[in-house]
Amino acid sequence: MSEKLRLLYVDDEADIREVVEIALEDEPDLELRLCASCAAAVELAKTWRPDLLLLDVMMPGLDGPATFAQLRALPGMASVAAVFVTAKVQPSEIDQLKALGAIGVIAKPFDPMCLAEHIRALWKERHVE
Amino acid sequence: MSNEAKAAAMRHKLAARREAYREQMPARFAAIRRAWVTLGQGVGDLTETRYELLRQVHNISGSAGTFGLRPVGEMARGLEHFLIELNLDPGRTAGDAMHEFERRFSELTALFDRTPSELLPNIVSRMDAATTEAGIAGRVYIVEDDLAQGQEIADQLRAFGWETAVFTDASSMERALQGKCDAAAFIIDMALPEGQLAGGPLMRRIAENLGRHIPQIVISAHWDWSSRFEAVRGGALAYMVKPVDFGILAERLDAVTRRQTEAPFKVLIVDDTRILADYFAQVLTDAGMLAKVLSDPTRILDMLVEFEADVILMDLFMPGCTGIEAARVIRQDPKFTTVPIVFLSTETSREAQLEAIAIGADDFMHKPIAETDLILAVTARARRFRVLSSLVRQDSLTGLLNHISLKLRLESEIERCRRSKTSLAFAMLDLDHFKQVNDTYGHPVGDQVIRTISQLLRSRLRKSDVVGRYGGEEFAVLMPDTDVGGATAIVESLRAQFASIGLVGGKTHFHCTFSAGIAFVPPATSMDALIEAADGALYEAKRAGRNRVCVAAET
Repeated sequence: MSEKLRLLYVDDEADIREVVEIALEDEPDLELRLCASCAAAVELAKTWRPDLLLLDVMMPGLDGPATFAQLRALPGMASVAAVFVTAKVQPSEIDQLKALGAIGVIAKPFDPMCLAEHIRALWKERHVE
Repeated sequence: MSNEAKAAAMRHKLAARREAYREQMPARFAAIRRAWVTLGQGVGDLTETRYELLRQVHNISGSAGTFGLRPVGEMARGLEHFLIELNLDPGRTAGDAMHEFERRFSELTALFDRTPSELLPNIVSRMDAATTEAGIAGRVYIVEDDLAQGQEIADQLRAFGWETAVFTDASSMERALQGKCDAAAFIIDMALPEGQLAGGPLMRRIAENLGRHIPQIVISAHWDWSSRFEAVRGGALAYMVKPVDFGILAERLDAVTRRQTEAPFKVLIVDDTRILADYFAQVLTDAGMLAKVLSDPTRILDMLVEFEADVILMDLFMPGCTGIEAARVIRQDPKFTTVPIVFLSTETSREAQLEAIAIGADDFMHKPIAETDLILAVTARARRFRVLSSLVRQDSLTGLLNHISLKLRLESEIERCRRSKTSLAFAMLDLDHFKQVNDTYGHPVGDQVIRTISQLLRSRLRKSDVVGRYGGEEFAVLMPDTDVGGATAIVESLRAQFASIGLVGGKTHFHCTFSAGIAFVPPATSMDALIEAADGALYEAKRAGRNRVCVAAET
């Protein structure tokens, strides 16, 4: 088992990517990469295999769910876990996202100070299922 | 690192990001306005625009809270739900929907303006850090292998208000630069201990490491192809051959650091459709201009006097008065014969256009107007207007106010000073033995001395002070809201600084001084009395031995 959890965060908004980087860069158990679009994420995933995807839902071009599908379609990535990051957090919407195979949803706006803990908690719960 | 320390470091970084997010919020609002106006005009792919509008609002609702603006994010969520409902309800009439959107959107922008930003107190934008009222302008990093030369450059630049740091080789400067962001400019000798052309790679490394481009000026004893080519490759903005003319160097530094930038163009927008006028104002503001919106054309005259617009953007059809009629009223006043007027209209008839040209319209634009077209047209007109006005107002050698403009300005400042019951200081400066400078070194050098003192006055005085060239070697400085003690200190300091500047004449450096006389309102009550008093004090200074400052007797 590798020491660090490999996270791939995909969001078209540069501001949010920078905050996520600040929030997670000093965590010793996490290795983080950031992408601005589905295409960039697919390209990166060819040479760097993430353990957990953090995907913004509403993006221009291919949205979060579509990005998840594309990444899952890559060889060896069929069971990669994903967490959706979204402002849409009605219970029905959360159910919809989980039905796609997500292990959880992080609500926007999120508190950057708590982001690392939140991610760890979701990752631990995944193994319990 | 302990958890507390880690958290503190994270908070600090987040604070900087919050400030950046806040600064960009107006651009997000602009994008929303743009999308809304596009929908209103019914041009292009409406489905695409509708999605874009929704996405922009959704983004704010999803991110504002992360950046310390939770109330703004929540209100944006309300706006987002309104837009979603609107999309689903075709029964909603256009006018009603427009009003509701406008109302909610104004509420949102107003809330943003009111929301205090949750910052750490010591985050200062880099722009602010670079300049202060008195003209201190950020640090100039100097790398010169000859220590004496390097220190001399530093001393001379300090006279012009620059803070400096001197290094004698590339590696010590690079070490010092680590983690700092206070560099305003670099002065680099091409030949350094690391090599004859080491300046070139040094410049490239600096540009790479700092991530943004800080202006660099090369100084060199050589004027040969390889040194100059290296300078170009390194991205230098200027190349100066030693011995360095410090006045010219200071001028170049000001130019490359844009310390004295063009003041923003001022645009007055007259259009009774508020949302459209606000939209134009936003477009122009984003392009760096100052825009003021007026929906009531009857208030144009007061606004023009107060605002001093460089361009007027006017709608052709307004309730109560057409753009043409308003333009005619404006042009009746000789002061506003030349201010550019650009008409906006959906009207495309040739007749209307000719009528507009007949009363001196400068341009005619059809709505809907592409943003870039608007910005280009306004910028071109405003710039031309400024150039024409300044030709009339400025002295060509120095760019300072010329004699006539100076007197006009003096008159209005005295008036203002009397109304507000504050005091005004007026100093007249005259170069000492200037004829000798011209005779010994030639007129081109004499001209450069004039430019150098102008440069010094401009850089060391406050924005509210007025500097003009009164005569051949005579300058005038107007300092509003300044008393005897303050004015005397300022002019005395200028005297000392000017005397210390190394001026270049052929292959040598020489020095020049000035004498000055200062007078005040009160006790002077008129422009003539003020000038006479200052002149008298100047005469005293000359008589007493020159290179000194005297204050008028009756003060």
